[in-house]
Amino acid sequence: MSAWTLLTWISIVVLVAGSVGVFAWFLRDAWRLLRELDAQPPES
Amino acid sequence: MTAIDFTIVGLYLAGMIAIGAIVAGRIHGFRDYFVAAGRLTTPLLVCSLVSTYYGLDVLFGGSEVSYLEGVVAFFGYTRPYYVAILVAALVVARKLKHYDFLSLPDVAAHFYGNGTRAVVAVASAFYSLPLLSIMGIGVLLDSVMGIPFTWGVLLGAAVALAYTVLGGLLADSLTDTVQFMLMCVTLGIAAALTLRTTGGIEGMRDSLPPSFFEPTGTYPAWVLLVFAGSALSALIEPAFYQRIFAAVNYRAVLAALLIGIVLWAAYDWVTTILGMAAAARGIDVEPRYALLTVVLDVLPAGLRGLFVAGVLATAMSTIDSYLLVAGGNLAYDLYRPIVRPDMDERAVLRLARVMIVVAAIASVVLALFFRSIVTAWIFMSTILVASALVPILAGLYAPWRTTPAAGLASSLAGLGVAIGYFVLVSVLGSYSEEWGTQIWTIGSGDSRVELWLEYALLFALPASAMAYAFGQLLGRPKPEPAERPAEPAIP
Repeated sequence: MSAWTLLTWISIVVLVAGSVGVFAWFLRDAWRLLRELDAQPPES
Repeated sequence: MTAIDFTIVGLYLAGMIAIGAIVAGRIHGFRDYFVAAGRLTTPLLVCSLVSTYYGLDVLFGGSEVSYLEGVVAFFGYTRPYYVAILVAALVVARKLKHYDFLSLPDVAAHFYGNGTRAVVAVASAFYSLPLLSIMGIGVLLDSVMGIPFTWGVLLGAAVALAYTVLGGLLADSLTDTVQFMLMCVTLGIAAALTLRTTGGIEGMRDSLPPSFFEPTGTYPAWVLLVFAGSALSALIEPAFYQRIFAAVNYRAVLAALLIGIVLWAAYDWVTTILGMAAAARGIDVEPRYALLTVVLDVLPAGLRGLFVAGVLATAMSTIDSYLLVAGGNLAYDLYRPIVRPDMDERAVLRLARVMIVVAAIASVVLALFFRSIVTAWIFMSTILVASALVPILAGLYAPWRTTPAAGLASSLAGLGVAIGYFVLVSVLGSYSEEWGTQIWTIGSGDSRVELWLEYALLFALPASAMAYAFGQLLGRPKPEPAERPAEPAIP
């Protein structure tokens, strides 16, 4: 396998797995953020 | 495109508007709206940064270069950006989190006053007009779904406008997250399937000229220098700055940018390969549509709709964020300090929403001018870098007391020289089919000088620096800016 091929497949895996992983991480934080915004009083 | 594909795209568009509507009720003032009340954590920042910064200009522009020239699209055009973003993460973001700014022009105002703020706001607003992505949506929907170009532009812009106007940065960030995953996953799958049709990278090497696998390609050295110079825009990127101000703390920003660099690099390499795959397969099409053509050719029904949704997501994640920046620049950085300094938060918020619509209209009007996506990107980034880089970085890092004259002279000189150079080359030069850009040739034979449109930064940046030096020598210092303590981290 050439270096170009290896680089390409690593990039594909990083794109797919990395984005899914960050999305899962996001789901936890987004829920908490929306609850915090619901709890805060309106700005003056 | 089949019924499944259309359904997937329709569900995606409806989902984005729904997110905007959900968030709208939680927005109470301009700070909530423009920087999500400073509450963005690392995963939100990663998704928002990656998807915002990369739009159709990268997807189509990067593959446009690789379709014509090969791997230089990655090594010459995109790689300098990783270095600049690393510097932004390690140096610039750390400094900015000491302050309580809301926008890039805020930084200019802090060190130089409202004159420089106004010039930087104009440059930032212009840079932020998402003309490429808005027009790209129109072309995409026309070529893939048969929706007439004008209606496609209006549909794409209207959906992005709807949730941006409603929910501001928080809606942008939440939709960015969905869009981020969609654009990354669909691009990765598309690349894997496309490679099967070319015989892999080895098959492409048999079909393409050897120069396609040379890191510097066939571009002249000056052009590669300009490509690298355009990466300086990452140091003063308005959307980066906005997210730095919106971050819950510096560590969240640092982690997000470092993770972002890895994802951006992967995305860039995959788009580079897809452009080359189109060339290897002998696809004869306008270079900026090479990636779209080769991918839609290999994907089955269902995946095709998902990919189109992913491309729409790529465009809309950029449109929403930059419309927000442009609208904020016009309302908060131009109108408020100059016309009504006593505007309250709610009034600024109302005006920002109106200005976002104005920015969208301006984007559609301006997008008709450029023939090459790369050229358009170089022009817009040159305007921003030429007018803002020197005064902003000098304000943040110079050990001497700044003068308002230095900031104003620097930003005006940079902006003026950049625009003047572009006008000269556009009027006096001619379009080169070989290089896909405007070139002004002065002289002939051995003493001939070729001035590419892309060389504007080579003149504008030194002009900005010299004007800064003169202004610093001749002007009077501003009173020492107070460095406010950092906001306490929200647990």
